[in-house]
Amino acid sequence: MQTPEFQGTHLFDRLCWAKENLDGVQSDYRVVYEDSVDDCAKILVADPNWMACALQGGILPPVWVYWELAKDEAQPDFKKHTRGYLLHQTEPVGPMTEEEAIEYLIKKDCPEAVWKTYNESNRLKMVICKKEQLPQTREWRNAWKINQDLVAA
Amino acid sequence: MAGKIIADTLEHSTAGSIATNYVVEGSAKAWGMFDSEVTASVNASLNVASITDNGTGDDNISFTNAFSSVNISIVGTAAENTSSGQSAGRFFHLDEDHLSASSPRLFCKNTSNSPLDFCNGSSFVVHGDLA
Repeated sequence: MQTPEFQGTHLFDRLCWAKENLDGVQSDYRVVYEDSVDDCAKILVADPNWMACALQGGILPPVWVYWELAKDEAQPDFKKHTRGYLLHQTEPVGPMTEEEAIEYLIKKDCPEAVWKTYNESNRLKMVICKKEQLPQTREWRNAWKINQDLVAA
Repeated sequence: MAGKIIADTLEHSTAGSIATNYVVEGSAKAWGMFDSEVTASVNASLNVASITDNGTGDDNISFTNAFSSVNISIVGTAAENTSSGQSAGRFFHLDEDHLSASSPRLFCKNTSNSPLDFCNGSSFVVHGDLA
Protein backbone atom coordinates (compact mmCIF):
# COMPACT_ATOMS: atom_id res chain seq x y z
CA MET A 1 0.00 0.00 0.00
CA GLN A 2 1.25 3.45 -0.90
CA THR A 3 1.72 5.87 2.01
CA PRO A 4 -0.14 9.15 1.41
CA GLU A 5 1.90 12.35 1.27
CA PHE A 6 2.07 13.03 5.00
CA GLN A 7 4.45 15.94 5.43
CA GLY A 8 2.47 18.58 7.33
CA THR A 9 -0.13 16.07 8.50
CA HIS A 10 -0.40 15.75 12.29
CA LEU A 11 1.62 12.73 13.41
CA PHE A 12 -1.34 11.35 15.38
CA ASP A 13 -3.45 11.36 12.20
CA ARG A 14 -0.70 9.41 10.44
CA LEU A 15 -0.66 6.86 13.27
CA CYS A 16 -4.43 6.48 12.98
CA TRP A 17 -4.05 5.90 9.22
CA ALA A 18 -1.36 3.29 9.88
CA LYS A 19 -3.49 1.54 12.51
CA GLU A 20 -6.33 1.27 10.02
CA ASN A 21 -4.26 0.23 7.00
CA LEU A 22 -1.18 -1.64 8.16
CA ASP A 23 -0.84 -4.95 9.96
CA GLY A 24 1.25 -4.85 13.12
CA VAL A 25 4.70 -6.44 12.94
CA GLN A 26 5.89 -8.23 16.08
CA SER A 27 9.67 -7.99 16.10
CA ASP A 28 11.72 -10.79 17.61
CA TYR A 29 14.49 -8.33 18.42
CA ARG A 30 15.05 -7.16 21.96
CA VAL A 31 17.46 -4.45 23.07
CA VAL A 32 19.07 -5.22 26.41
CA TYR A 33 20.91 -2.33 28.04
CA GLU A 34 22.33 -1.19 31.35
CA ASP A 35 22.22 2.53 32.15
CA SER A 36 23.32 2.24 35.78
CA VAL A 37 25.67 -0.12 37.55
CA ASP A 38 23.19 -0.28 40.42
CA ASP A 39 20.22 -1.36 38.30
CA CYS A 40 19.40 -4.57 36.49
CA ALA A 41 19.44 -4.80 32.71
CA LYS A 42 16.51 -3.16 30.93
CA ILE A 43 14.79 -4.64 27.91
CA LEU A 44 13.41 -2.45 25.12
CA VAL A 45 10.64 -3.90 22.96
CA ALA A 46 9.32 -2.31 19.77
CA ASP A 47 5.59 -1.80 19.48
CA PRO A 48 4.11 -3.77 16.54
CA ASN A 49 2.18 -0.81 15.12
CA TRP A 50 5.23 1.41 15.41
CA MET A 51 7.33 -1.24 13.65
CA ALA A 52 4.76 -1.39 10.83
CA CYS A 53 5.08 2.40 10.44
CA ALA A 54 8.87 2.16 10.35
CA LEU A 55 8.85 -0.57 7.69
CA GLN A 56 6.23 1.24 5.62
CA GLY A 57 8.05 4.58 5.51
CA GLY A 58 6.68 8.07 5.06
CA ILE A 59 5.04 8.16 8.51
CA LEU A 60 7.59 8.64 11.30
CA PRO A 61 9.61 11.83 11.73
CA PRO A 62 13.41 11.66 11.72
CA VAL A 63 14.86 10.63 15.06
CA TRP A 64 16.52 14.01 15.65
CA VAL A 65 13.07 15.47 16.17
CA TYR A 66 12.70 13.33 19.29
CA TRP A 67 16.13 14.46 20.50
CA GLU A 68 15.04 18.09 20.22
CA LEU A 69 11.84 17.42 22.17
CA ALA A 70 13.80 15.44 24.78
CA LYS A 71 16.14 18.43 25.21
CA ASP A 72 13.13 20.66 25.85
CA GLU A 73 11.59 18.22 28.33
CA ALA A 74 14.89 17.91 30.20
CA GLN A 75 14.91 21.61 31.04
CA PRO A 76 14.23 22.17 34.77
CA ASP A 77 11.58 24.78 33.98
CA PHE A 78 9.82 22.62 31.37
CA LYS A 79 6.08 23.19 31.44
CA LYS A 80 4.86 22.47 27.93
CA HIS A 81 6.24 21.46 24.55
CA THR A 82 6.37 24.45 22.21
CA ARG A 83 8.10 22.70 19.33
CA GLY A 84 5.61 19.88 18.74
CA TYR A 85 5.33 21.15 15.18
CA LEU A 86 8.63 19.37 14.50
CA LEU A 87 6.78 16.06 14.76
CA HIS A 88 4.22 17.12 12.17
CA GLN A 89 6.05 19.48 9.80
CA THR A 90 9.37 17.68 9.35
CA GLU A 91 9.63 15.46 6.29
CA PRO A 92 8.98 11.85 7.37
CA VAL A 93 11.71 9.23 7.00
CA GLY A 94 11.49 6.60 4.29
CA PRO A 95 11.03 2.85 4.72
CA MET A 96 13.47 1.07 7.00
CA THR A 97 14.50 -2.53 7.36
CA GLU A 98 13.64 -4.15 10.68
CA GLU A 99 17.26 -3.78 11.77
CA GLU A 100 17.33 -0.10 10.83
CA ALA A 101 14.08 0.40 12.72
CA ILE A 102 15.59 -1.12 15.86
CA GLU A 103 18.58 1.21 15.51
CA TYR A 104 16.20 4.17 15.15
CA LEU A 105 14.28 3.02 18.24
CA ILE A 106 17.49 2.70 20.26
CA LYS A 107 18.37 6.28 19.37
CA LYS A 108 14.86 7.40 20.25
CA ASP A 109 14.15 5.52 23.48
CA CYS A 110 17.49 4.42 25.01
CA PRO A 111 19.51 6.97 26.97
CA GLU A 112 22.10 8.63 24.75
CA ALA A 113 24.82 7.79 27.28
CA VAL A 114 24.13 4.11 26.58
CA TRP A 115 23.96 3.93 22.79
CA LYS A 116 26.68 6.45 22.00
CA THR A 117 29.34 4.61 23.97
CA TYR A 118 27.86 1.16 24.39
CA ASN A 119 31.14 -0.65 23.66
CA GLU A 120 33.71 1.92 24.71
CA SER A 121 34.01 1.14 28.42
CA ASN A 122 35.34 -1.96 30.11
CA ARG A 123 31.80 -3.29 30.24
CA LEU A 124 29.40 -3.69 27.34
CA LYS A 125 26.30 -1.63 28.09
CA MET A 126 23.97 -2.70 25.32
CA VAL A 127 23.25 -5.72 23.16
CA ILE A 128 20.61 -6.52 20.55
CA CYS A 129 19.38 -10.11 20.74
CA LYS A 130 16.45 -12.28 19.74
CA LYS A 131 13.58 -12.87 22.16
CA GLU A 132 14.58 -16.54 22.46
CA GLN A 133 17.99 -15.55 23.82
CA LEU A 134 16.50 -13.98 26.93
CA PRO A 135 15.82 -16.10 30.03
CA GLN A 136 12.54 -17.92 29.59
CA THR A 137 11.36 -17.25 33.13
CA ARG A 138 11.57 -14.07 35.17
CA GLU A 139 13.29 -15.68 38.12
CA TRP A 140 15.71 -13.19 39.71
CA ARG A 141 14.58 -10.60 37.15
CA ASN A 142 15.95 -7.71 39.21
CA ALA A 143 19.44 -9.25 39.10
CA TRP A 144 19.67 -9.70 35.33
CA LYS A 145 22.82 -8.29 33.77
CA ILE A 146 24.34 -8.55 30.30
CA ASN A 147 26.49 -11.66 30.16
CA GLN A 148 29.91 -10.19 29.42
CA ASP A 149 31.46 -13.61 28.73
CA LEU A 150 28.80 -14.41 26.17
CA VAL A 151 29.37 -11.08 24.50
CA ALA A 152 33.13 -11.59 24.33
CA ALA A 153 32.57 -14.98 22.70
CA MET B 1 -6.96 13.57 4.02
CA ALA B 2 -10.13 12.24 2.33
CA GLY B 3 -13.42 12.12 4.21
CA LYS B 4 -12.75 15.15 6.40
CA ILE B 5 -15.73 16.73 8.21
CA ILE B 6 -15.19 20.15 9.71
CA ALA B 7 -17.73 20.99 12.40
CA ASP B 8 -17.73 22.80 15.71
CA THR B 9 -20.93 21.22 17.01
CA LEU B 10 -22.71 17.89 16.77
CA GLU B 11 -26.46 18.09 17.27
CA HIS B 12 -28.87 15.25 18.01
CA SER B 13 -32.54 15.61 17.06
CA THR B 14 -33.76 15.27 20.66
CA ALA B 15 -30.78 14.80 23.00
CA GLY B 16 -29.18 18.19 22.44
CA SER B 17 -25.80 19.18 21.07
CA ILE B 18 -22.15 18.88 21.97
CA ALA B 19 -19.16 20.93 20.87
CA THR B 20 -16.71 18.80 18.89
CA ASN B 21 -13.79 20.00 21.01
CA TYR B 22 -15.23 17.79 23.77
CA VAL B 23 -14.84 14.85 21.41
CA VAL B 24 -11.40 15.83 20.10
CA GLU B 25 -9.93 16.78 23.48
CA GLY B 26 -11.68 14.02 25.40
CA SER B 27 -10.59 11.07 23.26
CA ALA B 28 -7.78 8.84 24.45
CA LYS B 29 -4.56 9.73 22.62
CA ALA B 30 -2.67 6.58 23.56
CA TRP B 31 -3.51 3.13 24.84
CA GLY B 32 -1.91 -0.25 25.04
CA MET B 33 -2.36 -3.82 26.17
CA PHE B 34 0.91 -5.41 27.15
CA ASP B 35 2.60 -8.22 29.00
CA SER B 36 5.75 -8.35 31.10
CA GLU B 37 5.10 -11.80 32.51
CA VAL B 38 7.94 -13.58 30.68
CA THR B 39 9.44 -11.23 28.13
CA ALA B 40 7.84 -7.86 27.59
CA SER B 41 5.65 -7.47 24.52
CA VAL B 42 2.87 -5.23 23.28
CA ASN B 43 -0.29 -6.99 22.13
CA ALA B 44 -2.32 -4.03 20.90
CA SER B 45 -1.84 -0.30 21.06
CA LEU B 46 -2.17 3.19 19.63
CA ASN B 47 0.56 5.85 19.68
CA VAL B 48 3.09 3.62 21.45
CA ALA B 49 6.63 3.30 20.08
CA SER B 50 8.10 0.92 22.62
CA ILE B 51 7.89 -0.57 26.07
CA THR B 52 10.94 -0.93 28.27
CA ASP B 53 10.95 -3.65 30.91
CA ASN B 54 12.99 -2.05 33.72
CA GLY B 55 12.55 -4.95 36.13
CA THR B 56 9.80 -6.61 38.12
CA GLY B 57 6.62 -4.54 37.88
CA ASP B 58 8.45 -1.57 36.40
CA ASP B 59 7.91 -0.56 32.76
CA ASN B 60 8.31 2.59 30.67
CA ILE B 61 5.99 3.31 27.78
CA SER B 62 7.32 5.59 25.05
CA PHE B 63 4.90 7.47 22.85
CA THR B 64 5.34 8.05 19.13
CA ASN B 65 3.53 11.38 19.37
CA ALA B 66 4.49 12.87 22.73
CA PHE B 67 2.00 14.74 24.86
CA SER B 68 2.32 18.49 25.26
CA SER B 69 3.10 18.35 28.99
CA VAL B 70 3.43 15.96 31.92
CA ASN B 71 -0.12 16.84 32.92
CA ILE B 72 -1.73 13.76 31.44
CA SER B 73 -4.16 11.23 32.84
CA ILE B 74 -3.03 7.60 32.80
CA VAL B 75 -5.47 4.91 33.83
CA GLY B 76 -4.33 1.31 33.94
CA THR B 77 -5.13 -2.24 34.84
CA ALA B 78 -2.55 -4.66 36.22
CA ALA B 79 -3.73 -8.11 35.20
CA GLU B 80 -3.06 -11.27 37.17
CA ASN B 81 -2.67 -14.79 35.79
CA THR B 82 -4.03 -17.57 37.94
CA SER B 83 -3.00 -20.31 35.49
CA SER B 84 0.69 -19.45 35.87
CA GLY B 85 0.40 -19.04 39.63
CA GLN B 86 0.59 -15.25 39.49
CA SER B 87 -2.71 -14.79 41.25
CA ALA B 88 -1.70 -12.31 43.96
CA GLY B 89 -3.78 -9.16 43.92
CA ARG B 90 -1.94 -6.35 42.21
CA PHE B 91 -2.58 -2.79 41.25
CA PHE B 92 -1.40 -0.26 38.74
CA HIS B 93 0.78 2.43 40.26
CA LEU B 94 2.25 5.73 39.07
CA ASP B 95 5.08 7.63 40.69
CA GLU B 96 5.11 11.42 40.68
CA ASP B 97 8.88 11.41 40.07
CA HIS B 98 8.46 9.49 36.82
CA LEU B 99 5.71 11.43 35.08
CA SER B 100 6.69 12.39 31.55
CA ALA B 101 5.19 13.82 28.38
CA SER B 102 7.01 11.27 26.25
CA SER B 103 7.82 8.22 28.37
CA PRO B 104 6.01 7.76 31.69
CA ARG B 105 6.97 4.93 34.02
CA LEU B 106 4.35 2.46 35.20
CA PHE B 107 4.59 0.23 38.26
CA CYS B 108 2.74 -2.88 39.34
CA LYS B 109 2.63 -3.59 43.09
CA ASN B 110 0.72 -5.61 45.62
CA THR B 111 -1.02 -4.12 48.62
CA SER B 112 2.22 -4.42 50.63
CA ASN B 113 3.94 -2.15 48.09
CA SER B 114 6.09 -5.00 46.73
CA PRO B 115 6.62 -5.13 42.95
CA LEU B 116 4.89 -7.82 40.91
CA ASP B 117 5.09 -8.47 37.18
CA PHE B 118 2.52 -7.04 34.79
CA CYS B 119 0.74 -10.17 33.52
CA ASN B 120 -0.69 -10.64 30.05
CA GLY B 121 -3.70 -8.37 29.60
CA SER B 122 -2.34 -5.44 31.58
CA SER B 123 -3.34 -2.22 29.94
CA PHE B 124 -3.31 1.55 30.08
CA VAL B 125 -5.20 4.45 28.55
CA VAL B 126 -3.79 7.97 28.33
CA HIS B 127 -5.77 11.18 27.98
CA GLY B 128 -4.25 14.60 27.47
CA ASP B 129 -3.22 17.13 24.86
CA LEU B 130 -0.72 16.08 22.22
CA ALA B 131 2.44 18.02 21.43
